[in-house]
Amino acid sequence: MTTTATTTTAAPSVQQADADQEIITRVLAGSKDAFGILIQRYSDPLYRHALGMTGSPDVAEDILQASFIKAYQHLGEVRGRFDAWVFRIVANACKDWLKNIRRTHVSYEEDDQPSSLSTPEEEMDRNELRTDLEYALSRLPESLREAFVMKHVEGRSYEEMAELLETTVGALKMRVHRAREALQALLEEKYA
Amino acid sequence: MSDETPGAPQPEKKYRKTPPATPAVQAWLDGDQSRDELGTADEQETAELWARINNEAASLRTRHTPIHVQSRIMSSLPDVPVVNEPLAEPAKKMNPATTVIAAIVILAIGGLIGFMLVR
Repeated sequence: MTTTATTTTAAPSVQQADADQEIITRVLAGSKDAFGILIQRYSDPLYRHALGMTGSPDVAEDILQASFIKAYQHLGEVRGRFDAWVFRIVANACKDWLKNIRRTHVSYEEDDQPSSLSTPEEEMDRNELRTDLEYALSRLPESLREAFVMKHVEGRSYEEMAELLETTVGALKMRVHRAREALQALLEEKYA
Repeated sequence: MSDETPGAPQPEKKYRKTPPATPAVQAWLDGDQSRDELGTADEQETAELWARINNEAASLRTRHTPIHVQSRIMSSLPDVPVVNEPLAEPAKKMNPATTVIAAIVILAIGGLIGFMLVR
């Protein structure tokens, strides 16, 4: 078996970026409803990022809402790709939240997603691992957590991450590697 | 009180430390090489742990924005899309006169230090 460990999410195509620009033009011309297309198009990856960073669905929803409102209010300032621009708004909001909140516990509560696993033992193991991951993720410094979430939870390529975070692939690889080391050490610490 | 018999074999710990991720394991996690290329048993053990972590992380990738959130955002949008305040604080520009004065002061301090060192 020749498996690799990661999957990637492709960046929007040039056509998609052009289509976004068309929508922005319509919104700026007064079509508020057209903004809904952008929300529909990008809310899922942004929500996942906020969820991965904060660990709380409620906080992720609030961050998403505040970020889209901010994006709407400043739509005339978009230069380049809308998805990258709005991602940075969400990413900054997550970092601000992490800075301001005293974290005691994070939880992917209200997890009503269907499970592909069948036996109660497997489900228990999986829940335990999820809880452990949440705990370990919550202890990572925000830059490492961000890199880990983007790579492992969102499944982005290093190139895409570099574009979104405006840094180099090499720097991000280092952050992800350090995040993995720290995460593994934290998991070991819990079980030691 | 402990009911363990002295000298009796200790129960096996549930977890033993997984070996740290070697560069080969990191390369596998980065998608740069296949798992078959991990040579040692330790690397395979670490890969097994990370396969489970990846599996869990990937399950979060299927999460969708709750349906009510999109409509909540739309209903809370203000009427006007563009405001005049810039999203980011503009970089502060230094007045040219201030720049010249600052340069003179720095040069003077440098000259003074140089003079004192020479003396």
